[in-house]
Amino acid sequence: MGWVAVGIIYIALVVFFFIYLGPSLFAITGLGFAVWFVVIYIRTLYSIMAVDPSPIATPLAHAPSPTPPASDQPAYRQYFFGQAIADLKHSASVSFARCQDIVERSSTWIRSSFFQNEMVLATWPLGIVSYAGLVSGGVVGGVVLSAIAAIHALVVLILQAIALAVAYTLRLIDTGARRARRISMRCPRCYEDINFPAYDCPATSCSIRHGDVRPGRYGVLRRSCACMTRMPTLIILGSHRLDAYCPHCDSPLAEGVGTAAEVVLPVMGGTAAGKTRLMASMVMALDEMADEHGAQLVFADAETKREYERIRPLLVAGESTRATQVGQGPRAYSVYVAPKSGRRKLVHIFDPAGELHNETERMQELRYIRAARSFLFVVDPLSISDYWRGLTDAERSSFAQDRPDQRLVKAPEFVFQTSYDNIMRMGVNTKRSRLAVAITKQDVVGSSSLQASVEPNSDRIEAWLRDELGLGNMLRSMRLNFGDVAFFFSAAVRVNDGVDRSVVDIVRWLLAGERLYLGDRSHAPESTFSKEAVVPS
Amino acid sequence: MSTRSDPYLRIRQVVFTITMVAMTALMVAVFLLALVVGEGIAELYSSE
Repeated sequence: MGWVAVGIIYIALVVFFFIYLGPSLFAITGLGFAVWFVVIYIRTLYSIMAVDPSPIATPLAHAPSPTPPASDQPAYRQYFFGQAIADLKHSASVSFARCQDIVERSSTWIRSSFFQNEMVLATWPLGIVSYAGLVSGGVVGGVVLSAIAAIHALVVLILQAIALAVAYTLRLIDTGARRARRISMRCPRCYEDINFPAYDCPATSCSIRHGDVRPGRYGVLRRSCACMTRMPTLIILGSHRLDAYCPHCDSPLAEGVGTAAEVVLPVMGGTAAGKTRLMASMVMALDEMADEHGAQLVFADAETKREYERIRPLLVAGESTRATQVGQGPRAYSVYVAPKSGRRKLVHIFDPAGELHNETERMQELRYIRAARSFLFVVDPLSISDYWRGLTDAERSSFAQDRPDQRLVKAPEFVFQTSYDNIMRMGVNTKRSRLAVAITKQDVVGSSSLQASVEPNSDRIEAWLRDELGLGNMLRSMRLNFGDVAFFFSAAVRVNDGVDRSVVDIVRWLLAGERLYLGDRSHAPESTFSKEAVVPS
Repeated sequence: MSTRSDPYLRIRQVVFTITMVAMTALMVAVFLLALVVGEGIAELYSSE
């Protein structure tokens, strides 16, 4: 009887527990576990996302290689292009493992505490409630965790979309800004148009080359090189301060390339016509004009500076400059010219070997001509047979050493026609182009009997070439095919510590066509070359 | 040009902060919604 009473009391107590205490304990336990799981997730997320260095860092979704395959770049991918999802998965899996551990340990503790003791008859209801709390806490915690993970994923997706939109908007702005300012880029070695330069990593210990740094999957505003050095992704963001290279041929480009509109001045002419000397004189003239008119001239690359420093003393001393080597292709003198008023421009004066203009196949190598709107054609009067024949015997013997080897020299008409054919083949609209024709070596032949009565202005020089030297066909072709043609006598020598005025006139006329004015903004000035003022070399 | 030990640290911190703010906002919204729904139910029962 007594046992029955005890049993009844026991059952009553158990029922009382499950009705009055159990629900509260169940709720507290469940809530406790749910909060615990959420805290675990947030702490895990914090450790992965906000601590440096993280003890549980996510492995890199894409480890950059200093020598990646062609489809890849030697840079870290932008966070939202792989690593963000890796972080999301990593935080979920670490949190799940930690929660699973909690569940297992709690389950073990509940079993040993409430079901495997001597007072099991008294503690099993607590065990049941704890188990139920654990399960419900797991369910609630799981739901909350899923909600947080979903929020995290949503944030990642939204930011990824924003990153993509910003990246391509920035590309558009950069391209648009360059187009608005008529800035194009061209390699001075292979002459290919460049959409965007390749850049070297600025770290002195690295110098890995990045083929395409523009905003995209490797970075929006900045990218991280494989060496972890950060680099700007666009010219408007400062990439022009890095060392730039041609993406086609790896040649170094001008410093600050892409920040100024480019002016391409091809200098054409036969072998030993005096192009190299005239071009170096043109750079000297630019320098002196810049000084005179408060403009600035800066060498755009080390090669220009080196070549100019090599050739300048020769010009000053009146010595010969060696002929440009054939086979390497022309290399430009590249200088930035910043006039007192108006935009800074990058002027390329190309120095091709004269031999290239004689050969149609090789002329194709001179692709830079596509970008040119002003041309300079150099004629050595000593290469014109009528001119040579018209000289006196004394003059011929005096000028013989300045006359190029006739076995190598082609007539100016032939050189011009070959050059023009190739210009046309490259799609240049010559009707909208300007052509300056420089009759060189005036420091040598300027006082010859043939030129004594020729005034140094464009119309008189043209008439002289046509009427007395038999170049009528070439002149007709020039007038017919080019929008504007002017003729100059030129002497690439220094007079009174300055470049001869004739060279200054050519430079001014050519730059006026490119809307680059140094001093006088009026129409192209006439040549002021003075035979008396020239110092013979 | 700067160098970092973790190229993703700053953007990760930004993402973490935004996630936490969004989570807090969602929880507050759920709590307020529960409050409003609870009040509505209580009002319904009290009117009966």
